[in-house]
Amino acid sequence: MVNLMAITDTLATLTDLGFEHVLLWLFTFAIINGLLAQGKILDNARETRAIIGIVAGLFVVLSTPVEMIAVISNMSAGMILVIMAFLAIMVFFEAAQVKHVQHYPETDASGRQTGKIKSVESPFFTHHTYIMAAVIIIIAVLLFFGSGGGTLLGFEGTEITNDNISSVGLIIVVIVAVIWLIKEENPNAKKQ
Amino acid sequence: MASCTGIECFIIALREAGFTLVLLWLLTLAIVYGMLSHAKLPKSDTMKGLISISSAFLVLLAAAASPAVAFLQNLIVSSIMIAFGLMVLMIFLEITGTKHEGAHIFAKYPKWFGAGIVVIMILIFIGAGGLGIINIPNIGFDESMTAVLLFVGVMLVSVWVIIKEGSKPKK
Repeated sequence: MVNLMAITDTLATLTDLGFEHVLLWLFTFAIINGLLAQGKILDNARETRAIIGIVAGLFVVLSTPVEMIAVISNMSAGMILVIMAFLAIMVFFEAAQVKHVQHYPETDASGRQTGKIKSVESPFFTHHTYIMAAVIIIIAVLLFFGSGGGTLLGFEGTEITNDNISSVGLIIVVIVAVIWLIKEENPNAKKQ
Repeated sequence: MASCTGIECFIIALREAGFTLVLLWLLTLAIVYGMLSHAKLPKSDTMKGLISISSAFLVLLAAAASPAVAFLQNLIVSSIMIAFGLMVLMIFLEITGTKHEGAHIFAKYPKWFGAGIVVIMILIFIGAGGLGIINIPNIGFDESMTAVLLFVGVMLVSVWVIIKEGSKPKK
């Protein structure tokens, strides 16, 4: 039988040692090395990439470790909660059979219409791609700033006041109006 | 010393000993050597090593060494935060299966997202004090500056729309 107290004690010992700093170093090293490898930067010099990753990790650990660990922890916890919420919503949608149904006139092999109507079902989330993308981006941005990511980037003292809300609202209205005008000018966009 | 955990005490000791300057030396060495190796110029490894070691020491001895360390720390911390934020966003998009015609929205509109990333990186560079490092006075992003940028942005979009409209062939 697994002794849960032993695991708790081990975790407490690791926390007392400051193991989270090692994790932060490892996290930074992995991201920097991964980005350099993905971008095929310094492709002929793998050792250089590794050294850049190691140095970047140490720079982060030596600068603001406590704040950054707190932000990353908060964001990770928030991410798991949001994912669980998404999964719950998707389960409810599946259970309630909420799907997008599109009707097409059925055609035969020669391409002539048979007079029947064919219905094609697609999942709700995958059909409304752009709305879902906008909602997800807003949730991710809120999660980022709510976890204190903005403070680390230097966005200190950004309060949500009535003035700020009205300014942002005005900008959104202008953007939506411009998009609407551009779409109106292009009649093909409506047909698609 | 104030109460700190084992690794924390070690980090504080390294910081107080000026270990960041050693890291700056190592980073310069790695980048210069890596670039020379990538370009295969010069062919002799000894020469590449000498050039990179000299460059690293020159950067370390420069007056801007300490500000450069602070700038690099800010830059890396901000970049890691942005990368983590984007990673979270991509996880959300993947979980919900938000795709357009089988492709991710990032893959569908690479130019727009690329432009967004470039803008974010420029803001990070300015915010980390990069303009001060390259001897350009810092630009204060106050309300008037934001208003001017917004105005210029609206002007650019308007001009772009007009030009796009003018370039369409008449039916």
